[in-house]
Amino acid sequence: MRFIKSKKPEKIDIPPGELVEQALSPVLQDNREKLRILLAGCSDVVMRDFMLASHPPTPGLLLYFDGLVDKEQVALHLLQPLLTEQNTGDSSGNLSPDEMLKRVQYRILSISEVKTLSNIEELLHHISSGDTVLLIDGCSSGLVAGTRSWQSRAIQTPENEITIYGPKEGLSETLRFNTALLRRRIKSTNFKIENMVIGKLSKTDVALFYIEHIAPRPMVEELKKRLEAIDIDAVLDPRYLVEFVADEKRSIFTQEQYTEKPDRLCGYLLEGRIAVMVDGSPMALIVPVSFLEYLISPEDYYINYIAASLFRLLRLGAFAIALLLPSLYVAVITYHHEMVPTPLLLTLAATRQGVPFPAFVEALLLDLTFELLREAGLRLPRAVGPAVSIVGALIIGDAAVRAGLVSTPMVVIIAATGIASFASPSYNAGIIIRIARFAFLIASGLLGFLGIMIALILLFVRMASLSSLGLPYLAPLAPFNWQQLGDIFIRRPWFENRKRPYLEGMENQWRQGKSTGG
Amino acid sequence: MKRAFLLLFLLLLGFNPGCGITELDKASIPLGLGVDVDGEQIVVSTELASPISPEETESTSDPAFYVISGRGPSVVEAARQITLQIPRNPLWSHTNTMIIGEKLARQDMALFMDFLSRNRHVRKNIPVFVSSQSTPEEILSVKPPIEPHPSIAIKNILNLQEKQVGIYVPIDLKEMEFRFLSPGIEPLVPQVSILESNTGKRLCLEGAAVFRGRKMVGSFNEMESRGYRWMSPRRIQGGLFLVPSPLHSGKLISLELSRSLAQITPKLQEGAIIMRIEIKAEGNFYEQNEAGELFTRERFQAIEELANQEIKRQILLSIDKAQELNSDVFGWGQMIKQNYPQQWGEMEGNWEELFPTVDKQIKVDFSLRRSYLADKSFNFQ
Repeated sequence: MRFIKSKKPEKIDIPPGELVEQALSPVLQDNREKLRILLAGCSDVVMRDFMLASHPPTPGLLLYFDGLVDKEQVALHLLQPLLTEQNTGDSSGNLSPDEMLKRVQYRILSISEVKTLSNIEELLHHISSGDTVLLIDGCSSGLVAGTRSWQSRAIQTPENEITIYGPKEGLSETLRFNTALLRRRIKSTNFKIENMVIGKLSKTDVALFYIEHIAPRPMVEELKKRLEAIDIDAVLDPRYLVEFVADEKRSIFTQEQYTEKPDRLCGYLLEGRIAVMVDGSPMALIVPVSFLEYLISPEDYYINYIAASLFRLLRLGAFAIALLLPSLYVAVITYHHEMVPTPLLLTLAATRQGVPFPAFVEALLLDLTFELLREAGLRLPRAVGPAVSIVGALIIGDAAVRAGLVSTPMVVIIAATGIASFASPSYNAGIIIRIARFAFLIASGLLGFLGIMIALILLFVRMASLSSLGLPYLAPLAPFNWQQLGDIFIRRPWFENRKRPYLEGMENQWRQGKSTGG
Repeated sequence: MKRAFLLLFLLLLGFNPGCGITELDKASIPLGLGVDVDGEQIVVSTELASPISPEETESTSDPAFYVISGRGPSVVEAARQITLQIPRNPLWSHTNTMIIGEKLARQDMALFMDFLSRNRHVRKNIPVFVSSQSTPEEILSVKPPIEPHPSIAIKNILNLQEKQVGIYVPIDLKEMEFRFLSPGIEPLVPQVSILESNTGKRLCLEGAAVFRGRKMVGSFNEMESRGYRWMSPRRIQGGLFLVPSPLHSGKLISLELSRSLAQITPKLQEGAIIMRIEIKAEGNFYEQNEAGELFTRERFQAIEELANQEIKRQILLSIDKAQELNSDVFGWGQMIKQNYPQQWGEMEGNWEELFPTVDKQIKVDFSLRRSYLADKSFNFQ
């Protein structure tokens, strides 16, 4: 007669920190009391007491966080069977607690994911992830039922990675949806999704995606090692992780790629890269990447390869323009006038007539204004957006020239630079170039072409010294690899794209023929 | 390592090399440069262009250019005098045209050549002219039609006539320097003069100045200049010339040259120097100012033969004049030096005496290729 005998709960005066590490007690009231202390103040927790329909009825407890579970499922497939299912057949009442638990797990609950757990820490992790925990008096372990379900954003087209052709789906905030999107694209069991939990408070699920035999084993191990070493309270976005994981941490040269597009992500995975996703963020982090890969747009692979190659060359030109145009212009009109054709120089001289600032200051001012407009434009509420862009365009384009503050050619130069900087298919590269542009401008203002050359040399020296998870940052330009360059500056047609870009330690380099299966 | 780079960068800043900052609104742009002598003084003139505003298309208030001259005992001093008169830093690298005063050319080129060869601002690839019966200052002051700047106008005229008329061979500063510096070759520089007409002054190319040693000794006229052009060492393209009509005596027909290549080889025979000049040219029929069928096989050959004779005549005129002036503008000395280096050693000292005695063998092969839209002569019925 356990029910009658049940003791008064003991007064618990153990600090919560130690409480968490304890194992579950066979006495339900004990567990209940401990959980009450641990979950004090969590108003969204639901603790449902009930009587298991056994002979005699046994007290039980259902535990979940409201909003994270599918309530209908809990009611229909957990609570209802537990309350109504009779002990049919065998000698009732004589079941040991463990047998009773097994019986509940195997014969009563009609939920697909059910497993046992035995300590409080595990229990807390499960309920805060949206599972429902079932405790039965007398059992020293509980049951977890997978009932996760919550409101989340539907699968939408990513707003920041717009393509005309190709898949339109975007990743979303829920990790499980994302794994599904990826698994649907790569059906091989070699496609691995490894889970880990990072964040002492947030306990965030972090998933590592890679394709076995294609992603180099040592690289995967190294990344895992670096991720496991992270000691942080919470992880809200992969950006939190990358600053721990990067080869060179103090640098504006980002050594990773972000994407919201599952197709783009799969493209990288198939080249042996590793992706990291964090539950709660739609951004996937891809390592390693080299700088030149920032030139590549996923759309390149969905359109005619000749056109795609031309577009890539155009983008390369846009890179150069976005980086160098203002500094070249300043150098030419303050130091190297002989580089300008005479008629153009005469016109330039006329437009600079009466401009109060040196060309360098003029360029700096205008470029800063442009950056300011862009930064402001990012955060503008929809309603005021057009108003600000009109004012911005008028101020920069017309009024400043009329007021004699800047010259017209400078406006043209900065505008061209701005447009070119938007041609970059990767936002990361855009940021690098925007910052480097100012360094180049200063160098050219001080030393003209010589300054630009010095800055270029320093830039390349710096970039050549970087690596992304062991992949040289300027690969395949340095170290030079002719075969791979064929798919960097131009897009190689698929029928010739027989090999994957080489990564140190890659086991299976062949996309076609040989051992494609991988 | 990073610190080392930073240090290097700062050091370089300190030793800011050569190129100083010149903001465009503090610079003036000289398009033409002229040098002449006036008595003991050297006169340097320059044509400074006014900035061309893209907005005002017809600005009548400002002249398109200003001509400013300075004088002094040396070229540098004269140039300094210019600086005293203009409020802006001249960017000499934009000089398009160099004009040498005839007076200076006839007096002594040594007044100027050392400065020129040392000067790092003026480009070496700009065309040189010698003024004819005027000073560079006057030439730079003439407002040409259509083109606002006389310096650019005269340069364009030179380049255009080379393609379409084919009289004068352009020469740039580099080539002129080389010819002054080398034995066995002398410069031939096109001359520019002012044409007075009732509509105002015009610039015009007229003749080519022949130099010997340090000074100008005479001029080639148009025919002699044409003769010189036939013998230029590189392939020439374009140009028009007149030959007598094979059908009507006293009438002329025009032929257009499409390309021509001269092969000149010196021969030393028993002490005599013979230049073998072989011209292979191709051209097109351009016009006849008379009716009658020219395009028959025989007449074609006749035209070609007449063209050969005309070309030969022009070449002979040129050679005679050069030998008369005793100036080896054709570079024959150089050719001998290349073909007979040992004998040239003996000749070099008295090349001035040898050059007028050089004999020539001229062979011209002109072939007529096309007659453009009409393959028959214009025939009135």
